[in-house]
Amino acid sequence: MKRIVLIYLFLVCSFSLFANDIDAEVVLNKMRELTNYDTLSMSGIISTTDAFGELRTSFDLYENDLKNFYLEITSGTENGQKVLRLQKDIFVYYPDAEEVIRLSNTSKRNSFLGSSFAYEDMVSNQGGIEAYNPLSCTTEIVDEVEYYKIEMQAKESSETYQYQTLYIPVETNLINKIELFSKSKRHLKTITYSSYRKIGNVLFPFKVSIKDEIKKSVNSFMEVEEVRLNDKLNPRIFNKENLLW
Amino acid sequence: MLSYVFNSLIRNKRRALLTSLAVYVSVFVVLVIIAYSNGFVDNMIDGTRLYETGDIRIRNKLYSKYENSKPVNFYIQNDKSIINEIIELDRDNNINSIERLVSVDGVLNLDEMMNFSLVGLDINNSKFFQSGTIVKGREINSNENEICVTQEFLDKTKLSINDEVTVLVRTKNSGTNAIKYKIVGIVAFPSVDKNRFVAYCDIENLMGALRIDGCLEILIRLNSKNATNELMNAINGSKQTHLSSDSLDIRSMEEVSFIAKSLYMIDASYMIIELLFFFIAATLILNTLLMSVNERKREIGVLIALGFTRQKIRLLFILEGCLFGLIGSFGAIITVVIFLLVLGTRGIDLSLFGAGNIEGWNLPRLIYPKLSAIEIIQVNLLLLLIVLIVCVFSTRLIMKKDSIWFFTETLS
Repeated sequence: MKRIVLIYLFLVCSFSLFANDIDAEVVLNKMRELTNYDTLSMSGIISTTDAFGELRTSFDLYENDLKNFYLEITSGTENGQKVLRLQKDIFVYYPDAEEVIRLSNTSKRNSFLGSSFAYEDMVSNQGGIEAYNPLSCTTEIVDEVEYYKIEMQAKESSETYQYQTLYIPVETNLINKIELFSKSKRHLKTITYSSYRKIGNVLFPFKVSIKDEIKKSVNSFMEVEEVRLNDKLNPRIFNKENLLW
Repeated sequence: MLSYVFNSLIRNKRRALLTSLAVYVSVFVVLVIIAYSNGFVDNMIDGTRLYETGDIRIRNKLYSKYENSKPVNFYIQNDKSIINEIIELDRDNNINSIERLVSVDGVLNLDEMMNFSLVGLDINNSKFFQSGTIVKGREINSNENEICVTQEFLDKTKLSINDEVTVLVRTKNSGTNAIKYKIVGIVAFPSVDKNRFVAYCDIENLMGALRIDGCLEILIRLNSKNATNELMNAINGSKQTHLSSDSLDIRSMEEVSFIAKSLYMIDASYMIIELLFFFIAATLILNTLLMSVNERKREIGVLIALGFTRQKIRLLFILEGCLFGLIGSFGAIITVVIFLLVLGTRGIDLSLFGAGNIEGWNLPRLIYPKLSAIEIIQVNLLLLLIVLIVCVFSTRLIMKKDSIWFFTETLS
């Protein structure tokens, strides 16, 4: 009897060790293969709901292979506002002032169009293995769906979110949810990706929701209306001077 | 009897001088404190009424609830209609002025981002703005991207008149917007708080930048304080479309002003200081008269032997004490009148006393001491009453002992 118990314990331990031994990098690389693109041109709508109603704003966005992007607001009260991300810097063109302003680190914490998105979210690397080290990769079943649960820690202390947890369905290997945490592991935001559609060989999420876990009354939702991948983009788009035009 | 009292005073000049001086200092200090506190409180109340609350203040209820974060999304909708409805309610012409106000925190886009306050006013009709003085440059033109700034603003930013500066503000939707303003003038206000790191601009211009179509506050100032309740009742009972909205927070200055609520504490603290000085004066007079009685025991004994009644002798001492009081208080009144004539028109610069470091109290830059004739008479009558009580107390010995006791006490 004693021997049976020992064998049972050995098997359980081996199984759990095996279960924890999923290589996060393999999962993330596989996900990247499915979703990777060089350039992106898209138009969409950000809608933000808070206690006072819903605000909808449409935008056009272009992203190049260096992951710099240019965003122009095309409707709503902030119509004409333009945002350019160049590496870690964010420049905003304000049509009322006819001026481009480089956002300070403090200003980057401001909400983008009143949504749950802060400007600093645009320069952080959610889900990116370049900026985060995987800490663990396990599987977890939520609502009868099996997910890879990858916990990651930022490589640099300057990163906006020091910890993140990715939920990637085993079946599709497409990211479903990212939970973002502070250095003290306080849950700050949850980003959910859904409605993946195939654009050429790339799977692209057409719906993204952002939930602010601190200001729980604010929910933002981004819906992609049109997307083109890997088009050749005019480099002028990502030029700071272009913002003034 | 009076000549005896005067002779007695002249006989001991130093004692008479010192006692009168004590009364003089006490009355002077008390009158100055009253004049100073009158000016201080009146100026603070006037400042609060002019800049912060009016006699009646209207806001969006939610703006009041979250006022620390200055949430511009909780602006007053239909503000102009509300003002018209209030004017209709004012049948007795009690309203002196109605002013719309938008005050927000802005960020200056300079080499280093700087936080400051940006206040939007109806420049052409603003009692708030009219209370200031354009020290240099000119006033703002309505609907232009222009600002008048304080000297502190220029000192901190190193900007000057005709410079342009970009200001970032948080919009109604919690987004950010930037506006480029031209500095057209330097303005100075009587209130210390309004001369801090602040810029003043046209309200419509600022509302446009914030994406709001109503102001954040409406201040109603009345011709008489007594009319507040009357107008408040009329507003609260109003069935008018916009004014009866549940979203409005309509309150009188007494209800919202921290200063108005603290007035009784300010009065009480001044009262304690005044009583302290009266106590010092009373103690000095008491001491002087006790010494006087003690030193003149032989004289009292002689007077009793000569047939003076004890009441009469006591009256002599009481008159002597009252004379100290009268001389001291008369001197104090003359000095206080001179003090009021000089500082009542020039004012006392509070910045010399560190008032610049106190925020949120609407402290005036200059305090003009105020004192009414009734207050002067009241203080002097109170002091004379105290002197009289002290005199009666200190001369009770005369009533208790006979002439032999006074002689034997002198010999011993």
